[in-house]
Amino acid sequence: MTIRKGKAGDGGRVRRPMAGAGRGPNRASAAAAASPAKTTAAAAKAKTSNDPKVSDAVAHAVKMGYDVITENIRQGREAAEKFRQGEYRLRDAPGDLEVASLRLLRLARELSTTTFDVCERLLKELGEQRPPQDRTAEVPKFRDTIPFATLQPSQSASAAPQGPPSLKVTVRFEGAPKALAHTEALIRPRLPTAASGITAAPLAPSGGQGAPITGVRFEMDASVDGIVAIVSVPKGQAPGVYSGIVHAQVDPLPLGLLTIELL
Amino acid sequence: MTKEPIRVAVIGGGCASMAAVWELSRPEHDGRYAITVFQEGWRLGGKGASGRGANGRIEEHGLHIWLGFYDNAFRMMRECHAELEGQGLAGLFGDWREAWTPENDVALFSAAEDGGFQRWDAHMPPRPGLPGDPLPEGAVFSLPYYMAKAFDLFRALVLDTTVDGRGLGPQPSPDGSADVSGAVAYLARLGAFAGAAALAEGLGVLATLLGSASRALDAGALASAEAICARLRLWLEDRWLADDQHRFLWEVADLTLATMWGLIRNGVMFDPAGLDAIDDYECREWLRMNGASVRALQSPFMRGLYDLSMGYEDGDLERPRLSAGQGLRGTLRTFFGYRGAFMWRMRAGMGDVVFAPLYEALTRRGVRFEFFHRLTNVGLPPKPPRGGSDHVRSLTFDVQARTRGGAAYAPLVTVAGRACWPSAPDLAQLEDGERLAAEGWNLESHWDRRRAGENTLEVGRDFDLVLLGVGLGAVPHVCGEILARDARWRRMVQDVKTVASQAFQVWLTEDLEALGWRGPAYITGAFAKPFDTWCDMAHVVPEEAWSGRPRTSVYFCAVLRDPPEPPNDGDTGYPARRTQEVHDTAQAFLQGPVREVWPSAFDVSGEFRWEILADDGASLLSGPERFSTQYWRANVNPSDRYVIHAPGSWRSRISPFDMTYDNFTIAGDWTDSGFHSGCVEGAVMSGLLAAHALSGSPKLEDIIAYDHP
Repeated sequence: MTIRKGKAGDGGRVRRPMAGAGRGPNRASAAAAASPAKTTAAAAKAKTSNDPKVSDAVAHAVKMGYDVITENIRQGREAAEKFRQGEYRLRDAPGDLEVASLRLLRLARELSTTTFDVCERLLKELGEQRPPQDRTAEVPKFRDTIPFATLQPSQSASAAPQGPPSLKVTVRFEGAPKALAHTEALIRPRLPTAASGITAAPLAPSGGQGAPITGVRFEMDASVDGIVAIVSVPKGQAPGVYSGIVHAQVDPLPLGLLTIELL
Repeated sequence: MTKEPIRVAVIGGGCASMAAVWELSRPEHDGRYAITVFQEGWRLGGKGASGRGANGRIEEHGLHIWLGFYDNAFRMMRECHAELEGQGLAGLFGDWREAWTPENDVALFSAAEDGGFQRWDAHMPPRPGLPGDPLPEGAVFSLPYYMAKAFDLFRALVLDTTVDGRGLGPQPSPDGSADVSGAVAYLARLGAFAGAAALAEGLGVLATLLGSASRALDAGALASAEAICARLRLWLEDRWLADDQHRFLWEVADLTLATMWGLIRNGVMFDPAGLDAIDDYECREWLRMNGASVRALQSPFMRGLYDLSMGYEDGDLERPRLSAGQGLRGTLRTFFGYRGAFMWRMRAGMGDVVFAPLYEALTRRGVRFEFFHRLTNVGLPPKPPRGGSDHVRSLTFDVQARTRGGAAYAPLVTVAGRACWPSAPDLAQLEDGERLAAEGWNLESHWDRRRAGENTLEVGRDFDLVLLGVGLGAVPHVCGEILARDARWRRMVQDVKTVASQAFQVWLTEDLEALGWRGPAYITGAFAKPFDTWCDMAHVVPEEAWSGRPRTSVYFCAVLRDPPEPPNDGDTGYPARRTQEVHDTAQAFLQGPVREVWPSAFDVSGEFRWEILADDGASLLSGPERFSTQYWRANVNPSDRYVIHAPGSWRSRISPFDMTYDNFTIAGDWTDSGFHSGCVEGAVMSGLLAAHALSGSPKLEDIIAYDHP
C-alpha cells in the first residue's frame, strides 16, 4: 500500500460518515431514516382499524371472498353433473374399461361431493374455530435415511413400492390397565376420508367367547405419523385377543383388521 | 475533508468484500477511495472460490446455484459484465445471460416409511422479469404480499407437481393410444383440485385484504382467515389420508397453512420487527406450534430446506437448527421473490463467472490486489481515546510469499478462451517458488503458518478506513484485541454458528440418463446422508479442456461434522485427515446410495462401475482406487466454514453500520445484513451496507429487499 506523509496522528484520522442508522441500528429504522418510500409505508401502517371506511371495505372484500368460493362451488357442481350424465363419451370406451370407468366416475362424484360438503361447512362455521394455545412443541427428528454402508444391491429403491399403500395406525387404550396392539398399519383409504369416517366392527374375541368390544373410534393426531385408533375397554372385559374389520365409510373395501390383546 | 483519496484496506476477497469494493470504486465517486484488497493465498472468492485443475476441470468449494431472488448479486454482476463488454472484453467474459442459464426444475427425495426413497419433482413456473432488474413500480416486500403469493404457488403446485414421473395429466399408454381410464382419472383429480383452488381463492382474497387494509383489519376478519385455515387443514387431512401418491403436495400445503396461520396468530404481519419477531424459535418448532403435522415436518421439502442451508449445529445431522424468522424469510424470498427463473446455473465455476470478471473490472477501475497476505491481527489503541471513539490502529499480515522483483501477481489463467482462476498458485511468479513447491506449502491452510515475512500497516500512515470481510470462523483468529475489549463481539462469535462442509465432484464417461437417472438435469436435495445435495453439471464440461471430453460431471456437497474438540492451531495434519475422510466417505457413497438414482452405474454383480470415472487416460487405476482421479475437499479452514442461522442468533449479529470503531466496518454473511443466511445474496447485501457505512452510498432504498420484513 502507498505510504503517504502528513496524515499520521489521531487528530487527522479519517472517520466514517455517520450512517443512516448509527450504532447497532434496527434495519427498519435505518431504512426509514434513509428512504422516503419506507416512511410512506410506515405512515400507511400507522392507520388504525377505527376508520369506518376501511371496515366497510374489509366487510365488502370478505363478502367478495365468499362469493368467489360460492362461484367455484357452483362451477364444480356443474362439472360434476356433466360427469354424472356421461358427457365425456365414456360409452365409446372399450367394454373392458367400462367397469373401471364407472368406478372412476363414482370416485370423481364422491371427491367432488366431499369437497363441496367441506366448503359448505366452512361457510357455516366461519369464526367458530379458535387458534390453539401456545405450547412447547415436540418436534420429531427427521426420518432416518438408509445408512449407506449397509445398503445392499437388492435394496435399490428405484423399484416402485409393492402392494397397497399403507397407513400407520397408533392404538391407544382407555380403561384397560394392560393391553397390546397387534396392528401397526391399515390399508390407506382410496377416497378422501376424515378420520371420524373410519370405523371398526366390534372387536370380537378370537375364541368366540365373551362380549365384543364396541368402543372403537379413529382420530387424527398431528403428533403422530398416521391415525390413532382409540379402544375403550369396558370394565371387567375378559383377557384375550380381540379383532374387528376396519372400514372407511365411503368405501366398501375393508382397510384391514384391528387386533388387540388384553392381558 | 482532504482531497487526497481516502485509503481503504479491504481484508478478504469473497462476495461481501467484492460487493463493497464494487460500490466504493464506482466512477461516480471520482476516485475518492483508493482501495487495496488483501487476500490470503492466490485467488479471490472466499467460500465461492473455484479453480482449474488437471484438464482445465473446474474444482469448486461446493455446489453453487444462484437463486432467482439474488437481485443485488445479479445487479452487480450484470453491471460488471456490461462494463467489461464496454471495454471490449465481451469475448473473454461474455454477456451475463451467457454466464447464467435458467433452471426451474427441482427434485427432492424423501425417506419412505418402509425404507428406500421416493422422488418428488417440482417445476417452478417462470416469472416475469430478470433478477437484478429494477423492482416494478409499486412492488413491495411485505408479509401480506407473500400471503397472496403463497396461494398462487399453491395453485402452481397443484398443476405442476409430479410424483415419480407421473404428472396430473393423462399419461400416454405404451402403444401411444389414449388411455381412457387415465383420462378419467385425470378429470377426477381436476375435480378434487378445483375444490382446493376454491378454498385457496378464498384465502387469496383474504390475503389481499390483509395487504390492502393493513392494520385496519378488524378481529372478525382475522378470525375468518384463521377459520378458513383451520377448515383447509381438515380438508387436507382428508386428502392426505387417501392420497399417498400426492403426499408431497399435501405436505407443502400443510406447511404453507401453518406459516399463514402462524403469521396471523403471532401478530407477525404488523410487527415492526418483521420476521425477526419469531427468530428466537426453531423453524420446525414454530411450524409445529402453528399446526403443521408431524409428517409435514418430516417432508422432503423441510429436509431440503435444512440440507440446502446446512442447518445442522456442529454439522450434527441429529441436531437440525434453523431459526424460524430467517427460515421463512429465505423460503418466502426463494419461492415468491424470484424473477425469470427459480434458479440460475453458472456457465462455469463460480470463480470464473463471478470473481474473474470482478477482478478484471476492479483492476481496471484502479483497485489494487495484494495476494498472499494473511491477516493475523486487527490492532486497537491501548485504550479508547478519552472522549473519542475507538478505532482500528493497525493491521498485521503474514506475507505468505513475495513476487519476483516485487511485480504485481497475475492471478488468472486462460482455459478454453476464458479467464479463470487456477487451483494452485503460479509459483513461477513467486520468490523461492521451487522451494515452496518442494516443501509442499499450502497457502490456503489455516494450519500452515509458513511465511516469507510480516507487514504491519498503521492507520494514517498506510490506511484510513478498514473493511473486514473475512469469514466469521476466522474472526477469533484475527480480532483478538477486539474480542478482549468488546463483549458484543464475543457474543457474536459465540452465538452466530458456523459449520464445516464437504464436497466431491466426479466426471463421468456416460451421461446420467444412460446411468438410469430419469428426467432432465436437476438440483437434487434431501437425498441420502451425508451427501444429501447434488447436481448434474453437464453444462460446465464444455468449458473445461479435456482432450476426451466426459459426458457429464456431478457435484455433491454436504455438511461435515465437527470433532468434539476443535483442532488446535498446531495440528498441521488436521486438514489432510479430514480431506482423507471426505475421500473415503465419497468413495463409499458412490457404492451405496448412488445406486438409488443411477442404477445403471452398477454392474450385474452389484459393483459400481468405476471405469465410468473419467481421467483422460492419464491413469491406469481401476476399481475403487480410480476415485482418486476425481476431486474432493473438506472445507474446514475457519474462513471456509458456512454460516448457519440458529434461533436467537440474530440478536448477536453486528451491523456494518456499527460505529464502535469509527474507521472500521465489517462485511459478510455473518453480519446483521437483513438476510441472515449463508448465501451469495446475504453476503452481497452486507457488502452494500458496508459500502454505505464507509461512503454513504449506495442509498439504502437501492439495496433490494433491505426493507424486507
